Amino acid sequence: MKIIKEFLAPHTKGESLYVDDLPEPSNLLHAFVFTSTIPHGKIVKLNLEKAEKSPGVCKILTSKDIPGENQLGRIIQDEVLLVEDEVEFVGQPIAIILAETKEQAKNASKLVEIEYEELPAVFDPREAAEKGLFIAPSNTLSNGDVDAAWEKCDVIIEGTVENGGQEHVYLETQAALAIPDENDKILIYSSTQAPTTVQGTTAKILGLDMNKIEVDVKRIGGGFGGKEDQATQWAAICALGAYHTKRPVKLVLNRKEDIQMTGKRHPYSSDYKIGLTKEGKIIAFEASIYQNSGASADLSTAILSRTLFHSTNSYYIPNVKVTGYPCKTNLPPFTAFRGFGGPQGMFLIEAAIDKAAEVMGVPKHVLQEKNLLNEGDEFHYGQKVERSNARRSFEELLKETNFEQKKKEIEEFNQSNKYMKKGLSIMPICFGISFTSTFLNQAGALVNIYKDGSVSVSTGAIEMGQGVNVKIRHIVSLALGIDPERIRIESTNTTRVINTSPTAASTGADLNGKAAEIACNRLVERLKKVASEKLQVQPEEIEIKEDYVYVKGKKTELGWNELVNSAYMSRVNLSSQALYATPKIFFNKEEKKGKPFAYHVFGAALTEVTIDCLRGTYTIDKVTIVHDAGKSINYLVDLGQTEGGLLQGIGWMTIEQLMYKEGHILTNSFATYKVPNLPFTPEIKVKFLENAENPEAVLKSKAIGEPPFMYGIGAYFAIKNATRAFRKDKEWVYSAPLTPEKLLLYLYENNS
Amino acid sequence: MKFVLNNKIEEIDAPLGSSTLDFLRKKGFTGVKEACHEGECGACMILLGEMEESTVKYKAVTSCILPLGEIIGKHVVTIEGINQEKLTPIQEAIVEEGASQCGFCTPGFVMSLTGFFLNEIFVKEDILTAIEGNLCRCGTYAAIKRAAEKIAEKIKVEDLNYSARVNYLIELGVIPEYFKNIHEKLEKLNEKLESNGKGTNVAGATDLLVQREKIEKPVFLSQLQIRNDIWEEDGYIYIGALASMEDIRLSEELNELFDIKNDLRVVSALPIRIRATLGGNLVNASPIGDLTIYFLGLGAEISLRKGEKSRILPLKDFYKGYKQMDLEEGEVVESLRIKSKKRFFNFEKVAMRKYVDIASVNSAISFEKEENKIKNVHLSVGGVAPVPKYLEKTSNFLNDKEVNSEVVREALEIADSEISPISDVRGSAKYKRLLVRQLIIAHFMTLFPEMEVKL
Repeated sequence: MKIIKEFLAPHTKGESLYVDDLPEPSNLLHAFVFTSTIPHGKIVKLNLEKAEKSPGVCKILTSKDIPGENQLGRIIQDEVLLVEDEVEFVGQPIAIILAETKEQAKNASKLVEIEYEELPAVFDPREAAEKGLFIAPSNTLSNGDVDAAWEKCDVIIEGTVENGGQEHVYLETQAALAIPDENDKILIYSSTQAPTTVQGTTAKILGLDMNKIEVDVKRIGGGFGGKEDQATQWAAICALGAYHTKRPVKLVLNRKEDIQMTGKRHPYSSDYKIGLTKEGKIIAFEASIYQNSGASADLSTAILSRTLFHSTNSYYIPNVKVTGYPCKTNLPPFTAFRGFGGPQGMFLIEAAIDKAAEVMGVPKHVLQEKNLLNEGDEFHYGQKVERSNARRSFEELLKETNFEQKKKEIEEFNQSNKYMKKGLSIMPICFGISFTSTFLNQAGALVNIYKDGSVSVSTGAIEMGQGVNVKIRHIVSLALGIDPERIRIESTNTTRVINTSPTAASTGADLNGKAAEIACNRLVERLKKVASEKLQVQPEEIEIKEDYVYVKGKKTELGWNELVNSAYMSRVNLSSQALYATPKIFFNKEEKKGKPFAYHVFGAALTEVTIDCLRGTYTIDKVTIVHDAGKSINYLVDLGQTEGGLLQGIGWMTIEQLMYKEGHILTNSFATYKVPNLPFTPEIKVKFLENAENPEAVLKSKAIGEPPFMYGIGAYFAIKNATRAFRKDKEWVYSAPLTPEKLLLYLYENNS
Repeated sequence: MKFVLNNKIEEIDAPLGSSTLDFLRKKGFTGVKEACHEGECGACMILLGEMEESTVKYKAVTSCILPLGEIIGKHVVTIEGINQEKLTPIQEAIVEEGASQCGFCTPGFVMSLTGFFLNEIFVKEDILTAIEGNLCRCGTYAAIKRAAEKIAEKIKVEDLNYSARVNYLIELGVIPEYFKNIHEKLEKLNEKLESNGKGTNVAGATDLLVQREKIEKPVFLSQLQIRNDIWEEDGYIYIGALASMEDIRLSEELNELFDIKNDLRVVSALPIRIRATLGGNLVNASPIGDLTIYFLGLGAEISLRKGEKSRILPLKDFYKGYKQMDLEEGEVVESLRIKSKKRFFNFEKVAMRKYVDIASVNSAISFEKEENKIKNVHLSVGGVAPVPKYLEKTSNFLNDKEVNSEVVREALEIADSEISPISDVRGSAKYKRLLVRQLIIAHFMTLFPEMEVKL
């Protein structure tokens, strides 16, 4: 409580600082990004003369002003910071206008003269695939022998599944402030989940060594993946401005700019084939998955591989062949978003099982339960399930919700109500924890103990609301044996902790928490030695807890402050750095087999909805979740992640709809892109599995950031089930989001 | 041009038609956050206190779409002006329930909840109403609900008058001591915006400052002699053009005739309903304006004024084409009136998100019943024509009819011939056409619950 309190109190007072809240340097310049207004074409004329003369303008920069490499791509080098001659999406940055005020920079942008030669544009992934437009080769994961397996199946079903994208709607928009330092060094305050990416990419763009760029992040106002790779360009733009003008430069996108220019969750369109025995055992699953990757790679290939990894969700399927195609379209590069391709894969398999259940005339939950992972089952990527809680959480959910009774009640309700129908659906999840690029599974920490006994902790983790700093503070407090009040978690800074991985893949607390723990343990060893000399006992007999030194379990007079001071006086190193690298994980990229994940997170949720068949509207009534949080480090943090993740997932499946017209996004504001709000929120009941210690992570906990998002998928099927209680004579099209429009049209449109 | 900012008198040194949020942030009040700049998210929530006789009335409003002119002579409270040495009970509850994650929206929630207790009208509502206009993308709503319940348990102000309430809230630490002196400060200030010639008429500005970054030459209608209240006269209920949506929603006169309190719950969020005016909604001429559709379905008339001259016009005749009105240069909407007579009425609205969203289609119907027949039928639909659509032919057809499935079916056909929806972000033309049909059926099923519409 104490830890979370000190962490949240400044939030409630509006005293937590985000990039745009930092005191502005006196000679600050404001950047405005001039962007493409067409989805695809060649720039045939770009005249900046008038704009340059506009009041307040200091300088306008284009790709020609980039001293280093004009390149943002992290996995694949295919994305420029500033367009050289060909624009590939609406909102692609072409020029940077630097002026004394925001308004002046914006006004000047209206004077930029540009002409394009338009080229054909593609927005649909299947159309791109037909035309051979890919950002990378396809990727296949398989096990068993799918082709041979079909013969053994009693039921074979084929179908198509589609899902839309999703705008992150982090409340703090993309923002950066670059301040020139002496000797060509630049300090960047960036709202990023990946300070090292910002540092490395900016250095490359400016042709500087990484040690010339320092990135500092106190916290960010929401990320959800949207600031993993796509915070970089805004920071690089500011740094480029600072490089040329030797003045500080700030860029804070407004909401419309942010929605127009930045990437979102990937829309997918997939074909699948699933085969089962007549008893309901899934024998084979095959899918061709078309990912709308957008105009360049960004993280799309990594996201696509996670889709493939999670395309069997919590089920054991002996024969699997899933192929993903990253399709190049003329939309802003789609990017990471909570779940990182996992949700798309899980929606696909859930839709396939749902259809199989319909065809076979059995309840879906029966098929789900029959195929749940058991201990030792092997995933199609070669990893064996360890400490599977798939079945346990599913069964506890059935019990917790009195499922059979509830189902009966709903059937009765539906029989006695003509226009109001209720539906429910169970959504199990199994989510692998670790970056699927093994090398990223490392984190550093630096723990300093000042001579007054206060402690300062730096790690590579970015605090974005997921509570990673709360957890780290708790870990450090336990490891050092002192009151959390003495511990301060510092900003994330590339000069203090180097070569950080992005805070992503739910690994923030696992990796950085462990690194902090290791650093603390080293300090404790040194302090114990000091204490043992002082107290004339053996170091092994010493324990530091509750701010005091204990010998053989007995409290001594020697307190933390005195101990620290003695160590200082004895010239003991009170600063410790550590690296944690997740052990035992590997993935063979040729064979596509290995153990990519340190462990899996399991759980199951029951979603209950009511639909109004007269008006085509729905209410998500209640979601009950049984979740495997390991041994939770902080209950409130984990509860918040579970409830919040769920809600984002429901939003993705229901009301969050991106609409475009010829590559221009139409849903470019909060007035047109609707996310869940308070009245939309269902009653949420969360139960964490008891006695679920996880030996693979710090303090036996489990990662929590992403997995709960996928419980939201249950809302789709619950609405669908309610709908089928009103109308059954028409084939269901598995397409998300399931908006009120789709619902009403399904209810009343003719079969044709 | 002065106002009180938290505990200090401040001078406005920016154009009066520009955003209060931008002004506050430039002054260093960075607890007021910008996330949408269109009144949709509540991150920039402030309290606006206004002298009303012996009291200062507070409302939580979104500062992003509040023109600076509107704060002259008033009390503006930012989160910085709420903070005290100890957390307030509201802040405390949010912390205890973990109802904050990234923290960006949190000051806005605190302001909305604080404002709730400072307003004797709103405080009678469910506390959650106070925060329906605050977005939290981290999705802490479940925790926020738990916090709000705790807060509502702890702070009880329903029966206290203004000064007693202020004292009580200070005692509880909800607001700082200085609130005691605000009335005096404002009185001394005695600042009032002068009416300032020709320019852009500004009412609540809840759409104006969304459409424009700033309003050039604003003429604040609040300074003209246009009423903002609701009154009964000669068998009519009149609504002044400057009456706010929330005042209309809670009006006793109107609630005696129909369930407007509930109907307008689905019209924007409290901070917007507080600012948005009837007149603004009418002259915005949005084909989907909720209030416009509501009153069209009540067969309302409006009064237009130019100088001393007034004229009365049926609301349905006011709209001529997309955003075109029968409104002369210099003429303003003065008031709206409906007959003060009980009648059958129903309002329907379907949007992507039920609360705080623009409708895909909305519709209202009213009629009187004589024996088995319905009379004086008025039926309106929004979002399916260039104007807020009064379904003249359908209404005429329904007049003097005994309602049965056959009649409804014919009415649906006529209605379908009267509309011309287009596909846009609110839905496809096909969907909107279907919605009109469904909502008309919904009208009859609601108003004739015993009847089963067979189609």
